[in-house]
Amino acid sequence: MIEISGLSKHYGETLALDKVDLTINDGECVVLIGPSGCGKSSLLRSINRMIDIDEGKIIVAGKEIASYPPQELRRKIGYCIQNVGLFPHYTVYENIAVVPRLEKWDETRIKERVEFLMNLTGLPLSYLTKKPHELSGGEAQRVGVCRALAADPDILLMDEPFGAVDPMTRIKIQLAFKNIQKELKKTVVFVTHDVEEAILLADKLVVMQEGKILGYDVPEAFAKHMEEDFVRLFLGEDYPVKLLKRHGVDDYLKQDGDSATTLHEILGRLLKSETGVVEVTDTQNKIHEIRFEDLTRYLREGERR
Amino acid sequence: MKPGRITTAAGSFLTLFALTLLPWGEFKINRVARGIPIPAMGFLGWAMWTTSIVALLFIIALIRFRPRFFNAVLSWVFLLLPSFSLILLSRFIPDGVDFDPKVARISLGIGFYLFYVGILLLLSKTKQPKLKIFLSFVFILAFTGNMDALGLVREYRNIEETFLRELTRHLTLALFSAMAAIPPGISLGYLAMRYPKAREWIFGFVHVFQVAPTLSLLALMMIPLTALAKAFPFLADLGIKGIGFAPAFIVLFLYSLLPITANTYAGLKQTDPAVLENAVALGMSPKQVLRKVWFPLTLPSIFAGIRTAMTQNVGNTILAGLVGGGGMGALIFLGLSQSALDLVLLGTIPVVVMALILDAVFEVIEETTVRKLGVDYDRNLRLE
Repeated sequence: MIEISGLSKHYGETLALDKVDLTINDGECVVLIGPSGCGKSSLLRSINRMIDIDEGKIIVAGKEIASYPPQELRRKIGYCIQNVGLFPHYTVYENIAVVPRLEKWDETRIKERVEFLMNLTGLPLSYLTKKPHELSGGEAQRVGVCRALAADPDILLMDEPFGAVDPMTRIKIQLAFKNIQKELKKTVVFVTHDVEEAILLADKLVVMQEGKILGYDVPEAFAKHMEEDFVRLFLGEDYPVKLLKRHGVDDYLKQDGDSATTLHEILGRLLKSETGVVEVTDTQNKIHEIRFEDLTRYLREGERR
Repeated sequence: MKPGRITTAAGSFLTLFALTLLPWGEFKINRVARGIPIPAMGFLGWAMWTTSIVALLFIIALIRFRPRFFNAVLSWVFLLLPSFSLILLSRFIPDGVDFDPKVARISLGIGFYLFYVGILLLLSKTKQPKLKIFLSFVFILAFTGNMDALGLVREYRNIEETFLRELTRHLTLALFSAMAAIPPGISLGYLAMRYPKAREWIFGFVHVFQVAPTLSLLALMMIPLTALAKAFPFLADLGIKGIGFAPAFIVLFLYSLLPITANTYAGLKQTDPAVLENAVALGMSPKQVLRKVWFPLTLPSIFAGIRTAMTQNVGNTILAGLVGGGGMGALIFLGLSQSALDLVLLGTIPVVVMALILDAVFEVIEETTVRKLGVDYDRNLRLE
């Protein structure tokens, strides 16, 4: 658990963080979103003491962060940023092994861990001996994620980690990361300015502006925050439509299936259909009809959940 | 006209001009006597001279009209020519002159040099590395006693021991002074990076030595060193005095600082900030960041600085000859004072060769480190 209370940070005259309170539960992926300069990166970077805070308290794993030696704290927390920052003189293996080596793990354990992470992120083991300049942008990002996860930290800080790759690769990595998170259940603090990325990955969403938190909730519940002008402007009037991407047909039918169809696609089919009805089959081969009203109702329910 | 044709035309002109009109060397009955010019015809003889001219015209025609046709063969022929002509030239004996064969000598003249400039121009379209083979070939012939009458060889034979001693001394001075500058150079570069306020002072300091003429620095160095040696005579016994090895070493050392300092600084500065941020964020201590990440990534740049320092030092060490520091400069300045141009050449050629060899050696080292690190110092990292 990360408990942040009364956190303020100044850069000269400008106030980057203004008495921020935020509690992040274990195993949740919390996405900080907002326009540039809203303080989301400062909030993230204050958690592993990459920046010093002026006021307030941050408690990580029951202890205030100021009471940890900074290096020890940082090794407990995975870190992954936009430009990856892989060490160009290290091989992929050595890059991933950085923190375990700092923590003085024995080499067989490191090797096991590295290979586990390579499999997890879908990188071939033959890449272990490559240098970063031989990797594509997407591959480098995956290695970056591996490196952040290397010493099995409970907390993961990610600052626009997929911001610099092309859209196709980006979606692939996002989905891969979602699966990894499902499996590992880390406490993730994720910064982005991309609403769709936030909707896809977030267990909870934090919308920030000018150093303040405007809303902190599950993405489904954000419709009720939409009365606030800024939130509506930033998330967009089409936010509910984007939200449909989070939910598969299986969620809608409350079943444990393996369909890849999202409600977003169902909406697309509805818009094209002349009858205003789309039919889907469930795992028992029963046919269900979905209408516009059903989607509206489903989103309302999500809000209450 | 295409550039290729211009070089061919210039090459043809130079070779023909040298063969017909220019002196290829001078015959001197002793070291300082006025020389008797030797035209190409003089040492080749009528028959060979005529054949040469006809052959040359034929070859020029081939190059002009069939550029690629005989090139491979031609370059080998031209490669053997200089050695061959040097041997013939050194066998030249003038008519009607009394001379002592042990003292008389032949110096190379303008015709020889221009002829081979012309040849290089004519060959500019073929592969070039043959020049190295050619040089080695000439050296081997010279050392095996095939052109003893050449002034250059004669000077060398006269002072063989001195030559080798000064050569060792030259290399020692140049290399050790640059090596001594490596630790302080790197430290200064790091300090300039670490403390931005000190940067201007540091760069001002190392620039002074680079901008000040080497010669005046040498003179400046003599005064405090002489004073020092007078005040503490035991220092003089250790070799620290106004003339000789010490001032030359110190000046060369100071001279080497700038390239090493500047390259260290530039290398540190160029390191991708994202890489350094990650090193810190992953939990490295400041010392670990420097040792494991920052410094290794700066190595190629530092090597480039050391390479510059070493090669420039080889040339600058010539000036050590002026303050009794020895080296090739001792031969060159002696040759200049005696108007013995062969001796000057004997001092100069090794300096050029040494600089070229050193540069090549360091290029290899630099490339190896760059390849090993997988990172270059002036190319930006590919981090999309």
